[in-house]
Amino acid sequence: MKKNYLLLFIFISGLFLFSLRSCSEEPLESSTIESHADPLSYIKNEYVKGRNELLGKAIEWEKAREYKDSGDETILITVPIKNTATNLIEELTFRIDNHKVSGHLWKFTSDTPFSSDDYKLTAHKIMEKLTGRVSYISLEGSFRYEKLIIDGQFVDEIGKGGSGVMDSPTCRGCHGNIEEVIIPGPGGGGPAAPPTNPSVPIPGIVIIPPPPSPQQEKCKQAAAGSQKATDLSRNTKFPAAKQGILNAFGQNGGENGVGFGSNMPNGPIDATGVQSLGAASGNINNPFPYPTADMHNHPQNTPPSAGDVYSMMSYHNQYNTFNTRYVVLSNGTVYALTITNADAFANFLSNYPPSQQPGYAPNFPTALNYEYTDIYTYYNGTQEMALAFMLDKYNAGIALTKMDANGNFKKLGTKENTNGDNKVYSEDNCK
Amino acid sequence: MTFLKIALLKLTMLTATINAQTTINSREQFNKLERSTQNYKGKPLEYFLKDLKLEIKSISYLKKNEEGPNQIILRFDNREKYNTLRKQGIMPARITIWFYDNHETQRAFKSLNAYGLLEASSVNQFKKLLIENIFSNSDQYISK
Repeated sequence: MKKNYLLLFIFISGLFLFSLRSCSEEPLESSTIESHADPLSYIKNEYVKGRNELLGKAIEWEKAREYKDSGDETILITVPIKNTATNLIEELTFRIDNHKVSGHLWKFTSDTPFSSDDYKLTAHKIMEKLTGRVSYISLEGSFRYEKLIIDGQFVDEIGKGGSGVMDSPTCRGCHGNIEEVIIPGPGGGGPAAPPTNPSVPIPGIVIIPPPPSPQQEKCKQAAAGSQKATDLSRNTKFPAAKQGILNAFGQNGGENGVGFGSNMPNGPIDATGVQSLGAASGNINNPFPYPTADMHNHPQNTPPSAGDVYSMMSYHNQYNTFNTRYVVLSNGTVYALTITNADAFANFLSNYPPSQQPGYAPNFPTALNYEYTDIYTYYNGTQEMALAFMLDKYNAGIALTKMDANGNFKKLGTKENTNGDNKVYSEDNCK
Repeated sequence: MTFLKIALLKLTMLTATINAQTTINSREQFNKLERSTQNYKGKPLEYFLKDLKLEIKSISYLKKNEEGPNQIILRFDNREKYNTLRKQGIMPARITIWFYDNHETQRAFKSLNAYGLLEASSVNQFKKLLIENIFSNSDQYISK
């Protein structure tokens, strides 16, 4: 019996020491921001790029809140993340200390729905009321924690008489001597209190993420291109071009296009006028020295074609600033072909050169074309799924993306399964 | 003498044309079919079907879009056989027929969706349409 107690004691002591160790050894993960840079702009355009944890999340940058201390040495930024669940609050917090940026993703999952006021609370205030789960992920990618909370107390501390999470041994252990950061909000306090992002994270259960699936890898590769497509679509030139093309289609019933580009590297985006491209296809004249994108409609409401892919590769090889091709349909659907890996073009073009019939757009070579058309004319897929599948399977270096209800472009993917011997295709789109 | 030369040339051309127009009774012939497609261009589909001695099992169709004109794909395997071949990494033999874009073709495709699969008997609804081009392939190995 004594032996059993001894083993239990050793086990619990081990756990305790491990918990302390995970706190004390956590490095202050951070990136450096130039002193003259706009913090929010830097975070949005540089810092969060390529962060897997944020893939597919509807980050509401326009609702970001920024807080500075009197010396401007510490800046805190909170950014909400949109979701449709009533019991989930997600937000990003960024702390900039002497130009060092550290970002964190918080997720609060309540057993009961949150009220609208809860969305204005700080992280610790949310936790004080919470019965559910809280998870905390360092955007630098190496630490993530998840803890259960009942009535504002961590489950492993219930019965110890704590008066809330900020006083709890768990938080104190990690905050150590570092006091909660309270920086006066602009104008003496805005609608929301400043965040209380601890500089050292809460210890707890370490969740080791599983290795990314091939689909997650594809999503990751397509994230930057999708973001570019989204960013350009928010330029005022974009809706004007789209409407102009659809108006022209209403008049001539054919394809119409617009080119986007700039007159200097990374200069402001300009657009050509609407160009009539003929009944089925044609080339868009893009006169800008630095062409970045183009847009055309498909009169038959079909998604981007193999021809769009091949001609895009060819155009990018001439102008490496060109990386997005939008296709608009009369029903309002907008697709974007985006470049994920221009280095893959050469292999793809060498292995699968286009087949070209006079008077028509280039197409996949015969064997690939048969595989492509089988997906939607013999099996259960759609043309959209077929193109997404082919681009991924043959590593074309181009992704098919589609604008979602929030105006964000998301990569489309297609899963091939079998039912008996019959092939069955289903959507496997990036979130 | 000149007359004889011209007559001989014409006879040679006629012989070549007659020989090119062959009966198609095996899928192995599909790869060679393109040599004789000139004979069928501009003619109604039924003209080609007369020479096709293989049973059609199903027909895929695609309406005119950016990738090509209104077209049908003749398939010669039932689904079980087709799936077996695909599982073996073989793209089953098929014949794709493009039609000229005229009033008759537009009418035949009007009631169809953008693309789909039809019963073999549906071939009759296309038999009067004029052939623009024929692409055919015997069974060929592809990646699985």
